[in-house]
Amino acid sequence: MAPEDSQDVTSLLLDLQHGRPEAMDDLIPLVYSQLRTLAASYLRNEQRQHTLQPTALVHEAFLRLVDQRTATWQNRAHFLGVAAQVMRRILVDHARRRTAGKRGGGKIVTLDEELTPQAERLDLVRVDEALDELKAVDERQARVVELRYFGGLSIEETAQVLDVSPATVKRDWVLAKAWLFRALRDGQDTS
Amino acid sequence: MTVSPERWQVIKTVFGESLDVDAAERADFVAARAGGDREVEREVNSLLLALAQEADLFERPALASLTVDDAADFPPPATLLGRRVGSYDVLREIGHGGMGVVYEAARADDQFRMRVAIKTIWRGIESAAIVGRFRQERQILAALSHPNIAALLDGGVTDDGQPYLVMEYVDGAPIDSWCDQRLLPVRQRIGLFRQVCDAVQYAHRNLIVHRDLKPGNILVTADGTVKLLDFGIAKLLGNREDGTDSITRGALHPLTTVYASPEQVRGETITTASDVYSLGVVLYELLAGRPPFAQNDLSPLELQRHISDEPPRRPSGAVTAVTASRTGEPTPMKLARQLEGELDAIVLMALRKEPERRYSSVELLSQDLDRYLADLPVVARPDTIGYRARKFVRRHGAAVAAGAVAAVALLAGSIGTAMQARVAERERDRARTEAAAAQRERENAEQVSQFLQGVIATADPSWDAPTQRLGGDSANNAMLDAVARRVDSELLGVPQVRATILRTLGRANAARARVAVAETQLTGALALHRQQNDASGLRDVAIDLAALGSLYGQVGRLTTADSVFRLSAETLGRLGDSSSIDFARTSNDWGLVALAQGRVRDAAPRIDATLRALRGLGRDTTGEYAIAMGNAALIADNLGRIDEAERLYRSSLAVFARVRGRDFYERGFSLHNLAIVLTLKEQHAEALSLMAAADSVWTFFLGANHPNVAVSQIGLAKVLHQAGRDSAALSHLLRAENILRRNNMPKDHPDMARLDAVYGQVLLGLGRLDAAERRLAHAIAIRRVTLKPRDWRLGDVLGSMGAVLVARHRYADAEPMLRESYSMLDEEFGPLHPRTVLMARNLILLYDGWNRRATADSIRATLAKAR
Repeated sequence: MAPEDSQDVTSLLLDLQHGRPEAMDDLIPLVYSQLRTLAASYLRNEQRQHTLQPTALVHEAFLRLVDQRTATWQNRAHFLGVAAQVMRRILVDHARRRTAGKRGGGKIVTLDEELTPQAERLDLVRVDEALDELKAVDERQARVVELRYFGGLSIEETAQVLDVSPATVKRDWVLAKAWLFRALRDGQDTS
Repeated sequence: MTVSPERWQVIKTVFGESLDVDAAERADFVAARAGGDREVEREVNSLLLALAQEADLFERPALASLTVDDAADFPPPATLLGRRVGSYDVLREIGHGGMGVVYEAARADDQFRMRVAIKTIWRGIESAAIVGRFRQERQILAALSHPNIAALLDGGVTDDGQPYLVMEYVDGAPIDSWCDQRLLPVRQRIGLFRQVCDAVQYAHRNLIVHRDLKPGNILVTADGTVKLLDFGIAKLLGNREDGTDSITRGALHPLTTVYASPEQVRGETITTASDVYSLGVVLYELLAGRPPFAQNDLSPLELQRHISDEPPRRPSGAVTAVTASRTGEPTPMKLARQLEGELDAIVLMALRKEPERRYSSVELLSQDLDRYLADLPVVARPDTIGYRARKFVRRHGAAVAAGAVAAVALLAGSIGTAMQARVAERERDRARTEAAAAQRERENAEQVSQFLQGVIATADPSWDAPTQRLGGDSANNAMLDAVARRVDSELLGVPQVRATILRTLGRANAARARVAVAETQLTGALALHRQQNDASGLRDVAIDLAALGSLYGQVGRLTTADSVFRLSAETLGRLGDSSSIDFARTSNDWGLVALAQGRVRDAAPRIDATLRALRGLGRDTTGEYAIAMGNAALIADNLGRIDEAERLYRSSLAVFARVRGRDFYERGFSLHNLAIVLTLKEQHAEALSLMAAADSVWTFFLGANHPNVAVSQIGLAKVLHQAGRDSAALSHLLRAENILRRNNMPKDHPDMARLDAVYGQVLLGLGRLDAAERRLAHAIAIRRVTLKPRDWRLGDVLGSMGAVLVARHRYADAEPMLRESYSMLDEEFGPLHPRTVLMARNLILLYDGWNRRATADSIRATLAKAR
């Protein structure tokens, strides 16, 4: 990435904050490509048993994309919010492609009951859909899941992005997990 | 399935609450809270089931579910791993963040393979500014050569143009965990911390401010050497190149705000004083086990505001049992004692909000710690901090009093002016102007009186104490008296304003146990409000009555208190006002009076009404809710349901802990009562530390001579007695008696009975039977008069008397007493309650001593069967 991108992202964030929502259209591709690169770095590190935490990806993207000398708390929170959303898109797109490749028709992979929960690999396409359903019931809870599960943010960071207390995030998170799990489980029962 | 938004809110609430309930009782709880709404009940139960099955499926971020199989989908990034940089082989990544990655590397041409750390900038962010920063860090590090600062060894640019630094490899742990793992005692923690001071002081002398001091950047090696790391955001003083100060760099490290100074979070100029502050935070955490402002429960903006504006608690007031154990102390009280005084003063001096009022250099901070370690008189305390603090408080105290008095004058003045205006304007348009002037009078009076109430309230420990403790009892008392005098002389013409201020004064004085003054002021307020014949006047009357009721309850005039509260509740009831905050408060305090009288079953519905009203008002994470919950626990306690009581006390404490940025002196009650429950369950260690915590909460908020402190002292004696440590208990009883005497407690006050009852038990334990008998006789006499005939507390003290008589071999006298006691306790709590069981054991002692083996054995058998 060229250095000037860093200034682009910074000014795009400022645009967003100053009420120019169309800046998002320019921002997302930049964040998208940065996060894909970082995801790759993560995957290869894991291959060698190294410790880059998936939680850190959106931060890394922030550090790389935003001019740190003019970064503020507010635009950091804003950025993390956007990045988590983009991360969701990246991962769900990837899952969709893989599913299509394996099943040859976009059929939904269901949770496998034979496996223990720890070993279960969630079907991100289903999670994505369930998350849209949750959003209709409780928008903030859906945001919490996006930030925590897709963005890999901690409770405290999620609280920063949403500007609520960590205790509130914890409450939302517990209920949202239960809600999503039920949606996935029931979806599986009926499929 | 779609749920209405209103229902979803209910589902959320019930779901959240049910998580605090034992799994076994959850279904009942949900059914009860759903209140017959089957859909809510079904939905919550279904979600709870899902939660139980979910098994942390979402705790691993989605990205972690990818594997190397997925890697083909993503292009490879650049890394230095496996490459040679300069003369070093890069071996593994040890960390990342800030602007780049840190690798472990080894010198390729060195037979000892010396380990180093190599720091690089992330690929792709080599903008001019960032490379400039990187260069600056190199420049800064090159200027620093100190045993406690990780050294710069080398630096350069890789073949493909990536700048890097080679640094000393530090194999160590962050200072806080290093200390905790070794259970390092306070003095050694300070010794270690002085090494940190040395390093920072050295940097300051080289005109370098670190700006990011925190445990994560302060490592300690296995041999106990401190190494300061990461000058990545350090600043060269006088170097204008870095024009964008403070907050901009602070944004890089959002989660370390806890260590940021007030000027840093405010985005003001950063100097060496900012490092002094951050060092203060680190020291605070090393000593108290937690930072002065915790991040949990605060939104980022709130945390910034706390750092900027809220005074920190003293470290000694922040210790917990966990901290104590990590410093190798047996109890938090022991640790708190060590911190009290000098260390509190040193830490708080470093943490002053105004940079110029902190230690003017790290050196001075370090020297003071050195003096503390050498047991030399600490300069900071008597000559600097103590002096300045006293001076400041005196100034501050005087300012508070002057402000309050001036406000009374202003109030009188503004009303006077309004009246003059009214006279002058009357000439023109009588009716219209009069209404306008009256309106203005009301507004003026309202404004000034609110300000004044705020000032007075600061003297009321139940409002917002931590800041006020400094003011000291006498300064606050003088302030309250000065205001009272002005109110009497200058506000005669405005009865409503006067009444409201009198009530505020009365409450503040009541909370400070100045009973006579408080009673005069509250009855004065009541009389004035009674003259006002409308709904708002009636509400004020009810509030005055409740304040009076609390006062009477506090001094043990329970019958009067009961009827005053009844009047208050009925008045509110007449206003159709049984879900307001005033009703919640009255109902709670009225319930407490019933409890004090031993009428538990009358108390329960009143406390329930309070909890219901507070929940209805959405105030279920407030101090008030925690207090009422504590009272509900007390009821369960009094009904002998000790497991339920324990659970409720713990929830009460949990709610207290959730209330942001405030502590309450009422938390002392939950601590005290839980301690007593645990004593009954023979969990002596936790009981003792909780009771000690109650004692320090009350001492902190109310001063060392408040009657509540007598209660916690009696409590400490009780806990020690139950643990078999009677001689240790004695000194607490002496202190309690002293305090009660100073406060002129009436002889028949419940606390006096309590004192004598515990005194009797302790003396019996020490074999001082005459003295024990005298004390117990006194307690019995009080309790026979003030409690209903078969109150268990009477039974308890009769049982103790019986035990004394057994010890004197006066079996025939002891028998009826122990029998009566046993039947009272059995009646109240059932045969399995620890108190009843204890009394059964006394009976066995009696019959064994009396040689009535058969009777003793039959009680033994009953006891065994009951288990």
